[in-house]
Amino acid sequence: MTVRITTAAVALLALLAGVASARLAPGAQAPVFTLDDTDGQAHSLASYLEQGQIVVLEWFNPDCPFVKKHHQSHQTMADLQQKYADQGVTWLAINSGAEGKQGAGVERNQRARKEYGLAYPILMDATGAVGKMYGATNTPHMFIITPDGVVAYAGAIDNDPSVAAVGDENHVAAALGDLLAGRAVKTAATKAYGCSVKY
Amino acid sequence: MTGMYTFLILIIFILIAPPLTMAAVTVSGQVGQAAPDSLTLVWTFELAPGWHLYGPHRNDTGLPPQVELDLPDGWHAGPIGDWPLPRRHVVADLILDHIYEDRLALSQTIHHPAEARPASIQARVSWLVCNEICVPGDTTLTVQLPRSASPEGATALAQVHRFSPQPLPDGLVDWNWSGSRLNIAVPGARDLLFIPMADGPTISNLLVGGQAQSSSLTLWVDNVTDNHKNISGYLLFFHNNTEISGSITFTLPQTTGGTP
Repeated sequence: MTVRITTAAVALLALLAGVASARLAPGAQAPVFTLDDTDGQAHSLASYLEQGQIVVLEWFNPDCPFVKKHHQSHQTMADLQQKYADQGVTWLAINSGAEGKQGAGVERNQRARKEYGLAYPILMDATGAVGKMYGATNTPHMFIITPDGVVAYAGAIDNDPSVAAVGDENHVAAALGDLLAGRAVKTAATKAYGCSVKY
Repeated sequence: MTGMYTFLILIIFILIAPPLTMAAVTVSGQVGQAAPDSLTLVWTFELAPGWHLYGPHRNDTGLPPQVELDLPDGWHAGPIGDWPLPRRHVVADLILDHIYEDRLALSQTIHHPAEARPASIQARVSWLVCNEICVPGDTTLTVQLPRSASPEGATALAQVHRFSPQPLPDGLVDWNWSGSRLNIAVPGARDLLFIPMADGPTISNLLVGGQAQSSSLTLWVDNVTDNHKNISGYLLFFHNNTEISGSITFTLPQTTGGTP
């Protein structure tokens, strides 16, 4: 597995950690990273951004009930990813679960990718380094990054924090719609909900 | 020989298998108080060791238990209340929750016409229980509605009230606003802890600022909307080596543009 994070970003976040929680808020510069997916292929955030892509990061744990809600009971994420796939949006799931924790490990996530029919990769962050850089607290926890590397949205996928129902407002869809239309993101931050990231 | 191996594997599995999720929570409901036109129910959640539930406080994860009652026409259920003081729970220096372990008992009052009651009502109780993993659960209970509360029910309700934080006396806590900063101080106290309810504005430094060894806290309040009138929660501290806790409400200052 490869993890490369800029030193300056680490220093900045370490500094922030002393005075506030290190949670990336809209407007912040997104730390770049490179992580391997479940097939061992490296994915570089910087590379996607250089290609002019908007990048959606989805913190993922295949066995979290809230993740199952959006991947098993409903296809919230897969449908959204497909909708925007040909509009310059790259969708990456990230599993920051430590080895041995619920939903962690390459094998489990390889299976999950098939079970959930995901067309996008699941990046493995077993050390939790990238998750902590972003301040990812939940699965799912969503971040949208603009091609210039700025966090445009951080928070929940939608407005229903229950285990079973899907909300009637999808915050990620709304934010992507704003970005693709060249508008400022109207709702740039919401409170994420779900399981804890299993660091 | 194969049978012996199978038997050994089965024994090993039984020894190392995690507790069944069904056993993580046991729920019961009983009448704690009965008046001519109202009932107060007590919901009790018994938790297996290592598991926890959440309350309606500012948490990064989880959900509080919910009760859906099947009530006759004209009956109205109030909210679940009397949430006791939860325990602050931090994971990876990043994730902040306030949790209940071992046992959680809550009250809920139902108002009804002063007529004959049915012998029982149905309640669907749902929850999310977590340890290293989180598991949603639910059950349907039949709560018997006797004419008067049983001694056990009355005792259970008394316990709920006993552990429900009461408003802290006026003047005990000094607080003021400095821009968007809420300064809280309890002269002569130490180890202050503030546990806000979930329905208030965001406190962006709650993880590091919600707890202090000193006699004061400074909270960074933002994302205030027109719906927010105050910040309420529980305050816990030690004074003269005595642990003191209670509920408190901080009124938001008059705002212009939505920010204190």
